[in-house]
Amino acid sequence: MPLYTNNYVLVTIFLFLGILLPVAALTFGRFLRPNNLYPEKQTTYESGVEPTGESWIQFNVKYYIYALLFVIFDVETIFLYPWAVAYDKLGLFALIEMLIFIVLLIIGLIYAWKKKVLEWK
Amino acid sequence: MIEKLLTLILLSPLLGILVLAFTPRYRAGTVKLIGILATLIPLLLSFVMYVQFDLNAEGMQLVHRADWFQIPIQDSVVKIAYEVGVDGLSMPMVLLASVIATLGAVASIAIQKRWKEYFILYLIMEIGLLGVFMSLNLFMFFIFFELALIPMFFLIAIWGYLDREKAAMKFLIYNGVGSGILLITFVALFIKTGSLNMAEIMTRLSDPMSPFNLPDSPYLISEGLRTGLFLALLIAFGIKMPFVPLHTWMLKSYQESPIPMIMISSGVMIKMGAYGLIRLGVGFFPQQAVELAQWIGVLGLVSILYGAVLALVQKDLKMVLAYSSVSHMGIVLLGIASMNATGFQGAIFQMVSHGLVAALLIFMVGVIYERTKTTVISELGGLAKSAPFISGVLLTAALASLGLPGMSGFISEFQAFLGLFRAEPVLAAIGTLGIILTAVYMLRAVLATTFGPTPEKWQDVVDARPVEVIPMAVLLGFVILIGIYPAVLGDVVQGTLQNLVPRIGG
Amino acid sequence: MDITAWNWEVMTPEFIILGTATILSLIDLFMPDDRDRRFLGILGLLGVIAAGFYVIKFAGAEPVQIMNDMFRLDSFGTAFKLIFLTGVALLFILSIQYLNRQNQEVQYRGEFFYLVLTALLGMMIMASSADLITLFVGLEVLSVSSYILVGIRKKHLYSNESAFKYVVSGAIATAITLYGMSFIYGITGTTNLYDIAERLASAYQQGFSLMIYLGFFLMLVGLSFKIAVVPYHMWAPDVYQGAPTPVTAFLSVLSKAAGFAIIIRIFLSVFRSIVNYQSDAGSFYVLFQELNLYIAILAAASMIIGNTLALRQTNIKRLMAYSSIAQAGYILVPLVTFWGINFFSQTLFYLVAYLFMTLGAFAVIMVVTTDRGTEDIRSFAGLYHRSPFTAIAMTIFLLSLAGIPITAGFFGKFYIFMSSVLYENYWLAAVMMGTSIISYIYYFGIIRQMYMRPGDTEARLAVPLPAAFVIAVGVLGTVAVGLFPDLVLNYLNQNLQFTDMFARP
Repeated sequence: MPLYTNNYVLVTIFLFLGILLPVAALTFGRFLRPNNLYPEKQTTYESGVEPTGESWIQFNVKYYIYALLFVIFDVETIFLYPWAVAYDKLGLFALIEMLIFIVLLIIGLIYAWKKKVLEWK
Repeated sequence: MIEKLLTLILLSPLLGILVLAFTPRYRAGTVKLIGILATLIPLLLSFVMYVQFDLNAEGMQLVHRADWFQIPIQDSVVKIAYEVGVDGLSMPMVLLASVIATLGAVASIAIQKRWKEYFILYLIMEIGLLGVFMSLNLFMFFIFFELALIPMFFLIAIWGYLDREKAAMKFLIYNGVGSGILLITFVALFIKTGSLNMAEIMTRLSDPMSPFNLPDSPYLISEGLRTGLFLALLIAFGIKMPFVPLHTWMLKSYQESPIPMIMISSGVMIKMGAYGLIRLGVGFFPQQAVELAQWIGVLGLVSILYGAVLALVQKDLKMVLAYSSVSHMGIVLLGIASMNATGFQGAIFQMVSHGLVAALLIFMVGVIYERTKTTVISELGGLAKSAPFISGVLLTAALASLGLPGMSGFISEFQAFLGLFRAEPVLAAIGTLGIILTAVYMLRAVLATTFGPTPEKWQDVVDARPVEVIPMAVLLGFVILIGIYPAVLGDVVQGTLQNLVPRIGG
Repeated sequence: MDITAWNWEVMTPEFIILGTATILSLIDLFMPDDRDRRFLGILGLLGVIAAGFYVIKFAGAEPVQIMNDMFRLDSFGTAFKLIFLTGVALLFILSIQYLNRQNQEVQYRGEFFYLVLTALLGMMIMASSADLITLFVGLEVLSVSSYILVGIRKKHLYSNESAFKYVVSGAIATAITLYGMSFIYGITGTTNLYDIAERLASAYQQGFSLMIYLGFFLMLVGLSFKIAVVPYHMWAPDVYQGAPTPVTAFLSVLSKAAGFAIIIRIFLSVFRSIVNYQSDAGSFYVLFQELNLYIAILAAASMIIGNTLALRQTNIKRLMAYSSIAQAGYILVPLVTFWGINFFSQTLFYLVAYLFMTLGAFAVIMVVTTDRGTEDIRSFAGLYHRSPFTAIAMTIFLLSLAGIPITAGFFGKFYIFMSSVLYENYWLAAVMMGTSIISYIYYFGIIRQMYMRPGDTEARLAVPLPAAFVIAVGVLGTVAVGLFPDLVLNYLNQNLQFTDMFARP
């Protein structure tokens, strides 16, 4: 019992540290920095560009879908790479599994393609 | 053939339902005729049953059994059978149900709309009514109990008067609660005794050597549980009967239901409660019944007096009858409370007698309503001049209701009170007050309707038509028959009571 | 790792469904947009029937496991799969009617069919696996498919709202479930249910009870989302209202049944063997004699909340949502007694009854609401004059839901009720009985509309053939199973040995 719960003590310590650090840093910063506010300081920081309009604007949904597709194929590569390296040891089972995986992804790609996700209009 | 007689009675309304289903709905006359004819079949078969009934035999007769289905419960498989039969207690009730059902169908001629649906529902309800009295096991009892309830809801809610839907809802909820309690009790009984068959449960509960009664047995059914189950049955059937304070649904449904439905309700349906209380309540738990007899008596007394006093001040003829039903069912309770053979016989007589008399009275009210479009006493009056026959029958029915010697009401009240005087003289003495009040409120209501000066508007009220005379004649005939020759019912009941009474030590 | 040694044949039904879903999606993609897509439904139906054929063929066989219990074929799974397949088949017939060309609300008709199939695949996995990971993947396949199905009326405001609510609350529920599973995994170090069961029993003796309870409660709360019982029931009314009617039917019948499958599988497998030896009252089974109290509380709360809140509903689909919360409460009752020998028959019988009556009721609701263009209960007004048979069918379904003899719903309730009394859970039995009577009020409220209120129109209601078929099957099932419960009970008891759920082949 004590052994197992000790793991949670560690988690709790991390949790506390996680909360404590930013609170401490911000509090210290508040005491250390000179307090000299003027309007420009309160505007949003956008890499030196003048901010325009509201921050609550709609992004084109195509960005999301594009990003999703990218992530999927990114992950596919990550899967394929170790599999290819260890191919000799894994054998038939892994080959079939990987084929299923790729076929499913291809169907997904065909779907996205037919639904005109890949066209940017 | 004869062993399937009860099944035939039970299923015969189905024939009418089938024929009706293929009858065009706009043919009102044909539909009504088929509806009435369909109720005649179970009636005729019931008379065959009466003839076939062996007065000297013990236990259930004309039993018909068939396997229905089985359910696995714990390690064993429980067979639930279809089983019907009658004994001296249920046979008169089956007969009563089929008689009132036929007369109710005749009274349904006055129904104004949707005849086809009306009669189909009516016949389904009749199956339910007949089934309750014939069932030999709790499962079937419950199913038929509900089968009578649901069509009744529709019949009130569609064909009733102005506030019909509310009345139907109230009827449904009250009776639903009753059924719920009933189901809990049945399931508990089944779990504890391992049987659904009424006779089997009865022996298992009473046999001193059965594991359910031995003090050290793990299957022992404790006194406390028995009292609880008995009380649950008392409440469940008390809603149906109904006794004060569970009676409010009945008032509403008297007010709003169509006349044939009140006939069925007060003639048969509330008797299901009394029947259940005697057969299941007292039958299963005789000891608890004896212990609680005094309280049952008090309940009965309250019902009698409360019903009678309130009936005195009602302005509506229908409400007078509603409270009079409460009052009369109180007498049934008093009969049961006496816990002796005479009292029980009185209770059963009262069930049958009140069934007939109440149906007749409410039928008369229906006949009057059809002509005058009102049932308010103060607006009626002087009908004796324009409709002497109707007035005469109404007066006779009122006399039967207040227990005039020579009619069925007298026999039943006499026996119920005779029984009670032996057991609880004080209660009985107070109870007789109710009888006197009955005379007062009945005569007040009926005389105000029939006698006095005839107002202008009732000058040309038509007297009874032949089709209306039939139910009056039949019901009056039965009332007088039982009144002057009680053996016609008494002999039937006797055999069964001899079985029941020793167990309650009376 | 020899894959040929495994008996892949037992997964045939799953493969068929997967294959059908894939083929349907490809056909849909390469078909011109203006074509009628209803034949996809027929194809899907054929796939479901073929899968059902194999499920029945395998029924009653000795349990088989492949991939280290990742997939296992046992009687428990078979029974649930039969319910799922029957339900989806009826649902397809119903949707072929719903997704006709006049229906402009659903643009993605092909998607509807194969998403139902993928959801079905998820449900089948949920019913026949003995590994936390596979079970969870099944759960997610079902969930994700149903999120999309709920929002399939893309331009419909309520549909969007409900889909969004469903996704968000579903995601939270999933997270809670996973969190609970992580505790169980953390204590035992395995995801195989049988291994967990063994190690959990000894872990309990070593004093890890707190962790086990935490895992139990978190999983209970998380999984209660799928069956829509308290404490995770509030999504149901909104989602049921916004989803297209066939999808509502799907959620309230099939998704719920799948939820019960996974709950029973996990809880019975995992917590079954934990025994407390140290209590003052002697040793007792923790699950059956301590934790079941909490399930009882959930069941009672669902019955009370579902049935009382349904009283105030005017939208028929919201009303059915609350009714389904209450119904789920009833089905939880045998779970409270858990180890009753008839536990499986009781639960499955009620699910079968529930399948027939609810699908039938939703078929009627679909026909009526499409015809009147409103989901208000008043759309049922005068139904009896417009289509007597539909009204009578609906009456039978409602009576069955209310639990009035001689319907399947009555017997199901009676049977459940019996178990509750048998194990002396009187208070739960009383709650069940009391709330059933409360439910009369709203079920009969619909009946009142149908028979006693004049409708806006007296025109005859045309019931399309597929919907009529589903309604007819529903009526037949409800009445036949109600009159002869043997039909179902005998099949269950003779072909399926539920206790083989606990046997490792």
